[in-house]
Parts: sequence; structure tokens; C-alpha cells
Amino acid sequence: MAYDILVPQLSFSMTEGTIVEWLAEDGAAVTEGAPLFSIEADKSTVEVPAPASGTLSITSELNEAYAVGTVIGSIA
Amino acid sequence: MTSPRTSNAPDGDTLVEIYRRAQLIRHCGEQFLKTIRAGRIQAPYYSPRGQEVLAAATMVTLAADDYVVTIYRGLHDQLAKGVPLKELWAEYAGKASGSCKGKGGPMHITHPASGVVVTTGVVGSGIPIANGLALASQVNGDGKIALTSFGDGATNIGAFHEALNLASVWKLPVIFLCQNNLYAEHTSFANGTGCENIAMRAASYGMPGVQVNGNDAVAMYRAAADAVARARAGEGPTLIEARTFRFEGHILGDDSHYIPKEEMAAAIAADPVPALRRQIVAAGYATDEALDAIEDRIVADVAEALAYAIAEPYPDVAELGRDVLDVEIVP
Repeated sequence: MAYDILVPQLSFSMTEGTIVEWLAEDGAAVTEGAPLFSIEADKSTVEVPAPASGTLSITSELNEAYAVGTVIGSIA
Repeated sequence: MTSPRTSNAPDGDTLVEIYRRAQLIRHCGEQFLKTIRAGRIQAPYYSPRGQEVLAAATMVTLAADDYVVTIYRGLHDQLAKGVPLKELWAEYAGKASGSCKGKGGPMHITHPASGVVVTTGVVGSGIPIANGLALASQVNGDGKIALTSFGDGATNIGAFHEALNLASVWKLPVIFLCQNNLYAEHTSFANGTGCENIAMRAASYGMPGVQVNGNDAVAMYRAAADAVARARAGEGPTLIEARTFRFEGHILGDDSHYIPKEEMAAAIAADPVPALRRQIVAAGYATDEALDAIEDRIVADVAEALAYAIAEPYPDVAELGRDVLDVEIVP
């Protein structure tokens, strides 16, 4: 079963985030805990680790703001 | 004014129990970080990583029905005092079966059955509340004591000084536990506090002030046990300053850029949790295998609590008007 990648809430007042970089390519194998994407919110950029291991599928656009909880890709 | 150390060192079984509670805090915290970073729970998160042994060694000196008042950076206090994992996780996730029906969230964990009467969201505000609980014990003569936990920054708040003075005047059975991790949010101790240490502030209010290495399980246990004995004997309050450090910022998203790298590296190298494990094994109180088994059990319990919290339903909309002053009670 694919594991959805969600926009996490990473600071107290964060309501949306912008993915500024994927640290793995679409279709690549990713490992749980390894840096997966950089997200910008509240004027700071944070690297977020992969929540699971498997093949990455990116289903969102770079540099576009998404609400916390939005599915931005999956790992299968 | 200081009091002599009279309490014995913890025995082997107690040290193993301190280790168990410290590992519970560590694993629970790790899982919270993972879960929040994966977007499965949306909540502010204040990591207690680095302060586990302090809380565990303190809380084992209290009875199950003694009171604890902590602050929003208090996950370690709550777990060490015995707040059940499932209710805690469900509350973090905002679910109906949480310890506050999902309406308090991580910053207000409350579970009177385990003695955690309230977790406050405002720095320093829990200190007078602990006085109130201690006064109730004194009036009722039920022998319970109250412990309130706060950071170094809280000792610069007026409520701290007012509460310590009154507790001393009334000889309340209360323990003021300052967990001095050397940073009040992003402000270093030296930049925010005018005196050399927190313990010396006790002298102003005529109570013992004790400074202890909070990351040393034996020293922390003895300091807490001394304060508990004083409170139970009706001799009044104690201020404990337990020195410690935090490894993961004030709140999730804080990268600790204001902490010198060498200071952080030294603190992590002296991580109190593996240090306690080495101490226990070297003394022959437990084998590595026995401690591994304790850890395996904790990992399984935390995984179960996480799955429970995710699966449970959110509170009904009708709950919005319950437990609050939604309608005037007196017409």
C-alpha cells in the first residue's frame, strides 16, 4: 500500500508550506529517515525526512503553496 | 539556607525503573517527531530529549497520588509521572478519547488520575497553582505533596517570586523544580538571568535551595527525595535547580542556531540515557539483555498508542459547547 506524503506542520503557526526542492527524484528509491524534501514556511526552510521506504512518486508542483495535510506525493 | 543531603541513593531496582521511564520518554519523543514530520499529527512539539533522566529520577520519588503541575515543555514530566500512553497520544492527535477529550491538545495535558493535575501554556503560571494544591493538602491533612516543574526563564516571572514567598510563609508541602537547560526559548541563561544560579534565589524566601546535576540519576533522585521528605514532614518547600540540556530546540522547527555547536556536541556526547544504562550494567543491577527487553516492550507500547491515536475518532461538534462557558449558568 502506498504511503501518502503529507505537508507537515513544522512550526506553531504554520498553515501552509511550499516545496522548494525534492531531495530525491520522482521514481527513485527512498529510505525512511533520509532527507526527502525541503519545505519553506514562515520564512524558514526545513528538510523533511522520508516517512517510509520505497519508490517515490511526486504528485505536486514545486514552488507552490499547499495547506498543511495536503498529499504531495507517495511512497510505494 | 541549604539542607544536608540525608536521602539514600536509589537501590538497583529503582535505578532500573528510572531507566525504564527515561527510555519511555525517549522512544515516545522519537515517535512524536517522526509522526509529526510525516504530517500524521498536526501539533506543536516541544522535545524533552536530553531531560529524560531528570524527570524519571524525580518522579519515582513521588507517590502515585502526589500532584504534578508542569508546563507545555513537559512531555517528560507527564510520562515519568504515569500519564497513560494511549490517552496522551490521542490527546496530541486531538481525538475524543484523549486525556482532555481532544480539546486540550499537547500543551495542556491533564490527567488527575496519575497526579498530573494541569499542564499550563504560560511560562511560570503553574507555580502558584502548585501552591494551591499544596494548601489543599495541608488543609485536608491528606499527606499529598505538590511538585511544580518549570524552566530557568520562569524564575524571572513575578509569579515565581510571589509563590515561593507564600509557600515559605505557609510552610506548604510543595517542591519547586527548576529544570535549568540553560536556554529560555532562544535566550541564554547569562543573557536573561541576573544571578549566578537559580538555587540561590531560595535564600530570599527562607527555604533551602539545592543545585544538582539533573542528568545524574543518583544525584537527582537524592535531591528530590530530600525535598519530598521535607514536604511530607511539614517542614515546607524546597527549590531545586536541576542542571540539564536540551538536544532538539525549544520547539519543533527550532534548529538551535543560537547554541554554540561545541556546547551542543558536548551535551549530546554526555547523553544521560545511555550513561545511566552503562551505570546500571556496570553495577550489575541489570544485564544488557534485560534492559533490551524493557526497551522492546516500550517500543511496542508506543507503536500501539500511535495506532490507537490515529484510528480514534475526533470529538463530536457538540463537544465545542461542553466543558466551557457556552451558555450562562446563572441567568
